[in-house]
Amino acid sequence: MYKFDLKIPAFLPQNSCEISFELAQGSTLVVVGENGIGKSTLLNHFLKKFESKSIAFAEQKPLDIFYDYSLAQIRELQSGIDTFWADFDLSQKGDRRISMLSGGEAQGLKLASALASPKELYVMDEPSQALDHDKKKKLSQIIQKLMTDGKTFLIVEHDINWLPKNIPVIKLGQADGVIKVVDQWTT
Amino acid sequence: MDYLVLRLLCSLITGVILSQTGSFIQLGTRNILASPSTLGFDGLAVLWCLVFHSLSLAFFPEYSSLLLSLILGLPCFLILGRVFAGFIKGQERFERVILLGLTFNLFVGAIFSLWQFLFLAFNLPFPMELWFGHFRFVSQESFFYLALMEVFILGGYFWLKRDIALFSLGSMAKNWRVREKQLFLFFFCSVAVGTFVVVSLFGGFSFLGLIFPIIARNLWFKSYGLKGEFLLGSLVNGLFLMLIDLLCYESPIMGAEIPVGLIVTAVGAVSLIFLLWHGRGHGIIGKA
Repeated sequence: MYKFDLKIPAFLPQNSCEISFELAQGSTLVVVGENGIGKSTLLNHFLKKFESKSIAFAEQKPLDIFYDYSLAQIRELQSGIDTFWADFDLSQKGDRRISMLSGGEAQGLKLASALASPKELYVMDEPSQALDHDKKKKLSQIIQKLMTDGKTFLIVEHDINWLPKNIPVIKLGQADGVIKVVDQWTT
Repeated sequence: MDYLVLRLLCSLITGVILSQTGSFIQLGTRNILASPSTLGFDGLAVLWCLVFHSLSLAFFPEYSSLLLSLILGLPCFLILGRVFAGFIKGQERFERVILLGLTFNLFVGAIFSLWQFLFLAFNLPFPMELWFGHFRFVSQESFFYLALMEVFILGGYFWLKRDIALFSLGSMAKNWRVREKQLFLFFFCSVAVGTFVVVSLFGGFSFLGLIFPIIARNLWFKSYGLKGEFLLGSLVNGLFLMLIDLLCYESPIMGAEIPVGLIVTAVGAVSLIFLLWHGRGHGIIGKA
């Protein structure tokens, strides 16, 4: 169980926050909210609090690989990194270099590599960005499969339509100058 | 060993060390403008040698100043590398660090000129070669120190090879087990000590630590990634420095040999401008 309770005066430059939620083992929680409300900032606080735990993080930033490796070279660097490559149509593109990947392929590589890492909790910042409909569906299936294996997910998203059913969603909003959970429901 | 063979071996290993330490610093900081000279390691090593040369001239002229300088300097530069590794990790305003390093280099340049003036005024021997490196005074002793440094770098590389390769994957690698602390220690201790050893033995080669890794990464063995840059690319860069040194040795002007450091700095500066100018549209400058 991950119990998160954040009450700080300077969450965003002009806003304090009062956010708390619980994340049970093998469950998923989705955080939504308008742009600039502090969803990514929330994730950073969360990661800081649980830094000693076994967490994989797929951040929103684009890939920052130093060398222009081919996918086959990346596969050689870490065994198991390609476990989910087939789901993102990357398995057959071994000779493709990082600089030649499309936005969706790069996002797929980032997600597939994070999901394949042997962690207990997966934190994802807008994982569906740049993914087409099929890939979103595949991502949803992978999340469902990993949840049944006891893995936990914390996801920040804008588009929640692709997510598995019955996943709790919390919406961050501003009330009286304080960022807090203003609504919650399930997918 | 024959003087020329020794000299060529020293210039080869120096080129390899400069290329490898440049690679470490650029990978560690994930910035292609980082180098021992832009971060001030060069300047600090020159300053150390300058102060040490002056002190040994004044207080213990009977001892070899090189040996004493190396014995006292190695632990100090090892500590510097360790401190820098802690300082640079997670540094977000990296352009500030580069600006500080460059300012420090300018400061050392000013001190160098002032020191030179004072030495000339008092008719004392001044180590001119510190600013533009050369291999005129190679010895078996200098070859030994250089080879030892390269063994240290290669040993660390093979020990941490998997971690270095994974680290080059950027944020993606954080999800896999990378010994980041050891990696940073190794990177910056190699850079600090490697730069110090090269400057102590042969003087400064300011641009090479910056330009050699870029050339190795983007021109030689481009498709081989880390291995291409660190092993094959650095070897080709070492051969390049050796060739230029051979040309300097074989073609003295009016009996005087041009310092190889002067030539390679000029070549390096022009190459950098060319790469920056030509490479932008072709992704040749890399992703950092």
